[in-house]
Amino acid sequence: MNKTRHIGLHAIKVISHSMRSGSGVAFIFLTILIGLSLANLVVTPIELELITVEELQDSSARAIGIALATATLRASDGDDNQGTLTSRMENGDLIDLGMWARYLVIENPVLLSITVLLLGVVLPLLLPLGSFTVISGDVQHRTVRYLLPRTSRSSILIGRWLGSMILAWSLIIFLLCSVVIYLSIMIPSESLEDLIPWAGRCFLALFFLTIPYVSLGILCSATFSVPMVALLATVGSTIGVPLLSLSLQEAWEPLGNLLYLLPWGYSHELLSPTTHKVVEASAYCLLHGLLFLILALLKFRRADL
Amino acid sequence: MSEPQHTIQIENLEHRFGTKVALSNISWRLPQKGIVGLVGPNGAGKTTLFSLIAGFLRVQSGKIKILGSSSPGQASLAGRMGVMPQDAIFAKDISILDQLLYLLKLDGITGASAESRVFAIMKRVGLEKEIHRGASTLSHGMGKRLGVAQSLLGLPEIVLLDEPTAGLDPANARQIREFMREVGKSALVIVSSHNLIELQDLIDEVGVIVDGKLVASGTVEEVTQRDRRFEVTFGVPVTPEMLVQIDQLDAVQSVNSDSYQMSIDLDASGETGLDQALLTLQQKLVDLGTPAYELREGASLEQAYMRLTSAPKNTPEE
Amino acid sequence: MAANDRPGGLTALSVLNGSFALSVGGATISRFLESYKLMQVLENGIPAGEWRGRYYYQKLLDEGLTPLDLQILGVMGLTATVLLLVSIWGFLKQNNVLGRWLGTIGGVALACVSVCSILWLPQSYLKGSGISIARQMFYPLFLIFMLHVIFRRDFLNQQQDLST
Repeated sequence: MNKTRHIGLHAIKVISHSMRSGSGVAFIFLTILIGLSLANLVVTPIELELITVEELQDSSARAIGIALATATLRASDGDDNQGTLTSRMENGDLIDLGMWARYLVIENPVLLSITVLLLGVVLPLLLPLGSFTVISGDVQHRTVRYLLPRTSRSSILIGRWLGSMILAWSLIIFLLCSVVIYLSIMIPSESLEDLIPWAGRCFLALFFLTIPYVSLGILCSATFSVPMVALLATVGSTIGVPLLSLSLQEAWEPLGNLLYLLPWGYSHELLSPTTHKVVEASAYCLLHGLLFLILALLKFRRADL
Repeated sequence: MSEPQHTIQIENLEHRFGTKVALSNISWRLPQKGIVGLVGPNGAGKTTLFSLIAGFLRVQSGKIKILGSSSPGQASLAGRMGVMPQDAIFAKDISILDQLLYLLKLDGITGASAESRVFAIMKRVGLEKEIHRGASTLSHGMGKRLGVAQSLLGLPEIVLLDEPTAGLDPANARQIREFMREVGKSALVIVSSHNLIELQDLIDEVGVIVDGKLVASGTVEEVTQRDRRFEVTFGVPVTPEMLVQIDQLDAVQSVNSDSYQMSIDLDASGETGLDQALLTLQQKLVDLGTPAYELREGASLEQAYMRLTSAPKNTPEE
Repeated sequence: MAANDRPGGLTALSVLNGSFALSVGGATISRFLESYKLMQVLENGIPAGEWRGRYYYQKLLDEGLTPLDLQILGVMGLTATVLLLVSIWGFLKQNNVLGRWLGTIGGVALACVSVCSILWLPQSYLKGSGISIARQMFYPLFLIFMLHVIFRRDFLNQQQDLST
């Protein structure tokens, strides 16, 4: 009971401290700014009438299909010609990917889908900004020593993890609401009835995607007592894992599986049209998050503070 | 259920930082209440011992039992121990009031009672005007007082204070000492300090750490029983001849002078103890025709400390 | 004593205020320049060789935009810019009037500029700047929330300190 109360108190403290600290304000503002800018990037060509929604649906269906083929590592059969991929998606063995792309951009609001797909790539890089000081800042200045006689180490870590998660989820909700409201007002073809359920589905995808990346930030924050090192480690591993796996895959294909060290390997399936794949991807995200959290707990509980 | 023991029991405690041995074979039992001093040279291991008791460092070898708990950092100890760490910094972006209220919330105290307790304790340490400020605006001495205040917020059963009066002006140091005395009536207060004269007046028990080893522990009388320093004031200036004559006495370990005053370290460990040593000294002063105008006890703890901390260098085996 | 007890978030907010003041300031200059162009078009017809297209200004006029609209928006933008810039000093000094209240009025002015732009300016003028306006709508809300919820006590306490 006391532990639950302490976890809640630590979570609230993290949220309120984030609002008051320079790095926290920067994180909140950058996330909103970059999120809205991504949406702007998607919406501007439609607004300027450089392209129609139908044309965007058509071209993005192809582009997303190719991206999905690459992401699912199925394009590496020595057959990476774009034209061949497109025909395989339309008629051949990759037809499910073609259906998937259609599901994202034709069956559901295309502008919101593309914005969320872009967010899915950018958020993992932004989330460390909100979690890198959560533990390391207090350890560096020994502020944590005022807390240790009053609360357990696991309460501190879990509470701060929860606070960071709630903050990230709130920002995602705010972003999606802004984009949905804007699209429903400014783009006549995007109706609120279509947008709201899809936005809810997109929120769930981003909700699960947030868990492993925030947990990774907490793990790095608990491992390194210097906040900047924690930040570098989180961002470095988030970018480094896909780069490393892609380059090593060239040498030996199984090394491409290194991508699964982080959710990069399966996170796209959070927006799959197949329910069981979504459930699987969500479960993997949870497990990944849990693994990072447990590692962080082990590290923090044994650390000399 | 048995009554929890209000005490700390340390058994065969050892701690290393890499290859450096910071603490070696420390065994110490601390009383239920009162003020205990922890003294020792810089780098002797005082802060390491504090950090182990407080749960900042993990116990590598040996045992520390606190208030019935088998090790520090257990959930059952939460809120029962107050610690003033030496080098911790309060968060920069939050006001002192909010930080102290947050600490009290963790102790389970909220609302108006929490606020009134914060105001009362801040007034006690003379920081009531700074309560809405950020901790980064405080001077070194104010920071120390804030550290003491936070350690005593939740009315803990054990209080660990690492150098609480270092850097304080005499009035504030006195205020903190009085506060410690008051707290020491109902809780165990462990104080580490280099100010031995201050400690001697304050503490009930003492532990002396040298090179990571607890070389002496017990009540102040027990530790200082063979080291008694007396300050003697004369009606005439002290002459070198007087110094030589006094120094030749068996019971005198060392003697120093300053115009009309002589500082004499007596060895009270003999069979007849302090009384005989004092009698011999006074007789000698009368024989010299320079009777003492005033004779009062000086800093015996400092003398014991000097003996204990320099002992390894003067051991006969060397 | 240390230099100040200003929370880092307030310093970050002053940087954000500065960047928004600059962006609104930039937009304000362009509003005044375009109102001048519109006046020219009204007086002399379509000028030849205009960089934004010969018929752009005529189209704006046809859509009902007047130079006065742009000038009013320009004045509002100028007010918002000045208020945001002055409030930076108030943030840094944690001054309740110059920081919290001027910042609030600056935020409201910024929101008014955005709302009035959406209401008054024709679609052809706003095209492509849509979500950036939404972004400008977000900042005033964020600013007012921060000043009146998160940093309220910091301003009030600082004022109390100065008065005692």
